Amino acid sequence: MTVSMLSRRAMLGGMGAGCLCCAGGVRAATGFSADAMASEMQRLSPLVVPGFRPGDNDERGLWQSLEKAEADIADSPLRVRDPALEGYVQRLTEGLIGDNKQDIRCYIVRQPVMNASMAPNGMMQVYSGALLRFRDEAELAAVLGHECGHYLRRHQISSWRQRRNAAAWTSFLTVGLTIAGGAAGINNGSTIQSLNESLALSIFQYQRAQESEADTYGLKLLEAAGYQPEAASQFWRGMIAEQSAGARMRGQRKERPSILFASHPSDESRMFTLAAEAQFLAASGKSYRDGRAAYHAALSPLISAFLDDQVKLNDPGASLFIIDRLATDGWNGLLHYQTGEVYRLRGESGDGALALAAYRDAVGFADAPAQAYRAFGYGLLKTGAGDDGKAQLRRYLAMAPQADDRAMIEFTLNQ
Amino acid sequence: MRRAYPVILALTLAVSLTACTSTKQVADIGFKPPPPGFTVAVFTPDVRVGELTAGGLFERRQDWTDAARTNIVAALQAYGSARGGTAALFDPASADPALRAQLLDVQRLHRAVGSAILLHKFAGQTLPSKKDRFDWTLGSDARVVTQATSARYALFIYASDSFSSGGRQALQALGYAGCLVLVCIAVPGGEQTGFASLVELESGQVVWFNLLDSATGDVRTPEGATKMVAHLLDTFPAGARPVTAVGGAAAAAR
Repeated sequence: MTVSMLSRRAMLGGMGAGCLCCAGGVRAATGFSADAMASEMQRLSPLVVPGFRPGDNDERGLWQSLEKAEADIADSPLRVRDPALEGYVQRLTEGLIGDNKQDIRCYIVRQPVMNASMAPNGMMQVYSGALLRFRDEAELAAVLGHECGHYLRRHQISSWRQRRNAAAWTSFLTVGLTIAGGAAGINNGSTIQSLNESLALSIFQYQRAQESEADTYGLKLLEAAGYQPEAASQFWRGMIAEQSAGARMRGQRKERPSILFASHPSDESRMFTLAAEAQFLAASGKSYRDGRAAYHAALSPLISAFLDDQVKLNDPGASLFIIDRLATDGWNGLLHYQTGEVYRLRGESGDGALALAAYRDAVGFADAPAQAYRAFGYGLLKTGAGDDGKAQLRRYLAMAPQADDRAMIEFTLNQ
Repeated sequence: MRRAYPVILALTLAVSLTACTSTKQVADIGFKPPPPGFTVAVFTPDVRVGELTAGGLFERRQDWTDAARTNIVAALQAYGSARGGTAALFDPASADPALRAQLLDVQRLHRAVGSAILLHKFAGQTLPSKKDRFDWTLGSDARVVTQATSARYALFIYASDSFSSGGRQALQALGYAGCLVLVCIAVPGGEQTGFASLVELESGQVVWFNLLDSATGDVRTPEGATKMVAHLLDTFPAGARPVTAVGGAAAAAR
């Protein structure tokens, strides 16, 4: 997602949900005094009562649009219809948000990008690409907490009102100054342009301030629910490392978009701020959990599908980074197979051999997916090891007798 | 110089007063309306009504939208019964549960196709591959509507209306006030847009499409809604008989 896309969407979309995108520039992380952090944490309390319904015209209109959007998402083929996983994320969110839990509805959306969003009517979306990236339940809870922060602080409606005011000022200044300039015989063009630019920048500045507030509020909820507060900054450290790994393999440097037009503070700035705040919160000496085992148990039925989506993006550096992180507790057939797929899709010189080695590793595990045998079989055929290759393909058909590509495999076997 | 003011003011007023309703029918190449009595499922309309803020943003109003939807539905019903069909509109949300999901998908698909037609045929973003043709289709998925209603065609209506907020009116007044120093700025106000789209359900093809663009009118009132529906359907092929569900009046009349 490029910054220009984000900013254009923020300007025109108007009512887009507050989200957790990764874009931004650099802001020096300075001035973390314990007193300042304590008073900020103290200040952050819910602005919505449980069972909240909008009363103002603008907010009621916004909710009506969102009802339609929510019906679309609920019926969408992209929704991950897995009651166990959706229920798990729902329960976790309810545990974080407390009294307002009756008003939140979580949807898992199959999109291989890092994102989560919360709408002011309590509709939360978590992308499959986000779930693939969390190390443990605490990291997931950090992101859910951030989204709850947007909800509890009524960010979206206040952001809409700020944007509406900025647009009104822009219009009045443009018309007023054009007329005044015309009357006085001066060209006000550059004055008008710079005033309009500063009003546009104020919109982004306002959004970034909301993101920072949601970060801090999320951290407060994370800690209160008993998760280790370092999880939030640790998550951003992972995002930064992944983007660097992706860029490195493309022979580029990690993007550093301009902060002025960013809707979110930079990843680095968020990481530093969250780390300092976590240190402050954890000073109490309380013991925290990370929920690692519970997280991986909840994700395991879908990990194969989510990882497949990621690998097919053909962003080899990022995919290998993600696979490595998933292998922290040990490699398995799926992770080796997908490593092979990363190399096969990259297709640079020598990648065929790297892929073949990964497939060979994969089939050494009892839990290797059927596709690993197919990939290994075709890999062997390419190297001229025909009999071995065909044996692997037969193994594939034995494991997946209903495979869509059965006829094609049989054709190869009869060659 | 002094004498010029009233002239310019009169000119701008004239321009603003002649802002008129225009409907534009797309050349429905190859579409020959079938003999009178052909059946149409008229889907519940997609409606949004709101305020045009001072800065030119659309802000949806729930109460206005609800009122307008009620009025447009009533106007469509009157249109249907005046032509000998059933008065009820077809609402996929309350259709046969076995087909409900597919029917809602068709409605959403048409929302996407209809927006694409608006954008690429009327809003200036012409697609090179569709420059001198009108070939938009929902594909074979549309047939499920026939299954649910026995209709041969489906009619989709989209209606949007906006009204200048107090701030927008002040901005318009400021723009006109500029005429006093010979700098007139015409600030556009709220507007009415909409489309009616007829889909042949066997092929899924959009066979007839009518666009409405108007600076006047108010769908929040029954009269305004009736007028809008009349404009939208002014070139609608004659002889359509609206139907809603299999086994109802439509099946009996066959």
